Amino acid sequence: MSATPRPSRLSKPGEVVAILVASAVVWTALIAAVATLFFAVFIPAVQFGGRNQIPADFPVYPNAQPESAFASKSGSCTTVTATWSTSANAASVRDFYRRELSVGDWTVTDSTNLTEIFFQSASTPTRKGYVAVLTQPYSSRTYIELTLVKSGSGAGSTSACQVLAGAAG
Amino acid sequence: MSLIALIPFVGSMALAGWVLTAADGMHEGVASVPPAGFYLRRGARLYFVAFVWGALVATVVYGAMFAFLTAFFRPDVGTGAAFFLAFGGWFAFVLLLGVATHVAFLFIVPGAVEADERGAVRGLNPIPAITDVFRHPRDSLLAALITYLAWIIAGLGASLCYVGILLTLGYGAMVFAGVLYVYERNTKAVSAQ
Repeated sequence: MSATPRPSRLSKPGEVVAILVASAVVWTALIAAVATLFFAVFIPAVQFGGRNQIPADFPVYPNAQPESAFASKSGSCTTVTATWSTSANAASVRDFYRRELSVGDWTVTDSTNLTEIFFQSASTPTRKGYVAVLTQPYSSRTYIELTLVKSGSGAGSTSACQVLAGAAG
Repeated sequence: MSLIALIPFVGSMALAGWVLTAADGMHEGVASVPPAGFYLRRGARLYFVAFVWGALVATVVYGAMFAFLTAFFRPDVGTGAAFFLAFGGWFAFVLLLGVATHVAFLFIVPGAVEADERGAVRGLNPIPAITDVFRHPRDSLLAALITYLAWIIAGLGASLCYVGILLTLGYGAMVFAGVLYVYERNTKAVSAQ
């Protein structure tokens, strides 16, 4: 009825094996590619999507591991939230930020809080925020959380960009 | 046969062979369900073509999904033109995907018939199947609608904790075999005259 007789539509055993092996190899390669994309591109893009928004001159505690960096824009305000962790104790991390945020372009505006150090840029008051140094139960690591707001419209427009401070719990 | 179909790679090829063997029987005037088995030699060429096209489509679709999801987490995507570009693009992509998956049913039966007839490598060429759809629009549309029905029947069991697919996959496959037979009988017989 059709152009090719049906008995000739049977593949040779070698072809069957070749097709099965090839499809298994291709499938494995595709799964590996998807897994690589997911873990090497997608997760870092999500977890560290705001890394470029962290000011280059912001002091990072020596050997602290980056945990996350998010950024969001609302109008002319950019809010950056970044976290690092370190094995150093909280007191030395706090001392480090009190010291480093008092030199150069940064000025500590309030460090009376036990966990949070508020700061702003001396030359660009549109950049301001706070660093929270936190410890967590059942963890030997100290976590450093940066929250920073920046206004893209120059000095004077920062009043609309506010930082909400306060540790969870 | 549904149990055999669950075996990775081999099961899909065996299922394709089972469907084509059932269609072969109908061409010979025997409308019976073939016994369950490993019809690998019969199903290899159709499986190959379906696998290659499936892998290509999956790469494009999942690649686009990853690209959109990655774009959503850019800091500047929440404002201005980037927002409309990302979310508008996403909605357009989902809409296009929905339309494309339904239109694709038009080409499944002609594609399967051409792949089975032309062989594994030559069957990868989509032009003959596309030509068939335009040459036999009524048959292609009917085949697409019944294939859609077969797909629903096959998937019904999945709603029963997925285990039920063992009961319904075979029924769906046999409906598809019937569609293949009727389409090939109507279109190839007409072409041969």
